[in-house]
Amino acid sequence: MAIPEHIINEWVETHTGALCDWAYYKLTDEELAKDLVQETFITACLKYESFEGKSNARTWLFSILNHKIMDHFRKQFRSPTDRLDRDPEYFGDDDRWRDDKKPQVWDADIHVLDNAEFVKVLDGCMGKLPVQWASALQLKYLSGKDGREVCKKLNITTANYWQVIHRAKLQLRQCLELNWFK
Amino acid sequence: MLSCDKATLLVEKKIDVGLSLPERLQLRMHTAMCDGCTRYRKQSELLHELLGKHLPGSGHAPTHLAISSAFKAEIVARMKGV
Repeated sequence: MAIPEHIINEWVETHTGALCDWAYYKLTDEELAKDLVQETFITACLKYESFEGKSNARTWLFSILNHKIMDHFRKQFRSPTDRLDRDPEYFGDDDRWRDDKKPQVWDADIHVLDNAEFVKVLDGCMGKLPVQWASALQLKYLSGKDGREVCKKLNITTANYWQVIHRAKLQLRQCLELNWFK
Repeated sequence: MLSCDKATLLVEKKIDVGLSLPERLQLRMHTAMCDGCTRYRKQSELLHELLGKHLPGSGHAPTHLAISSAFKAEIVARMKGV
């Protein structure tokens, strides 16, 4: 069954704002965000039969959008737009943590996410990651899949994948320590 | 003895898919003697929890884009054309 016209009007009116806000938050590119939201609505039309009131419209539209966002991160991973700078030396010649890079004690738990200031710092640190590394992290956590699944989609070896995640987490951890947990 | 570089890599693998028995033992032996990596492990596990909650989010964004009615009309028109 084709999507009824009144549903088209209702969905666009009700959900465009929220979809655009989310896409922009993930992609930080307004034009790209709006493009993906348009494509989301087109896909929703094409797949309307599979929806047919089975679930919540917003949930369904968001899941379509998130797939497109993940596709974008996959593309970004494969052709990163920035140079991969040589990352800082965390470990010394003795293969141990350098004194100035060694993790300090954090006093924190998951509830730190309730603090809007912390969220800004976390987003800032994510933003400082090389595009390829940030894309890998986004894909992992948006998909909710484990490394092996993510690798298959990225067409890389698990060894390669964990190397990326490793460098990304090292940098992210350090950034958060410097900007928050110290 | 594992290097801290290797140990922290194993931490990431452990968090993601788990480790083989020999890897688990190697990591445990290393962290027992390395407070840097002990802290790293705890912090990376926390980061995993944080990212797991924050990156998928609940579809809520902190900022609102201005959406024109022209943009919405364009979407509606394209959808009707499908």
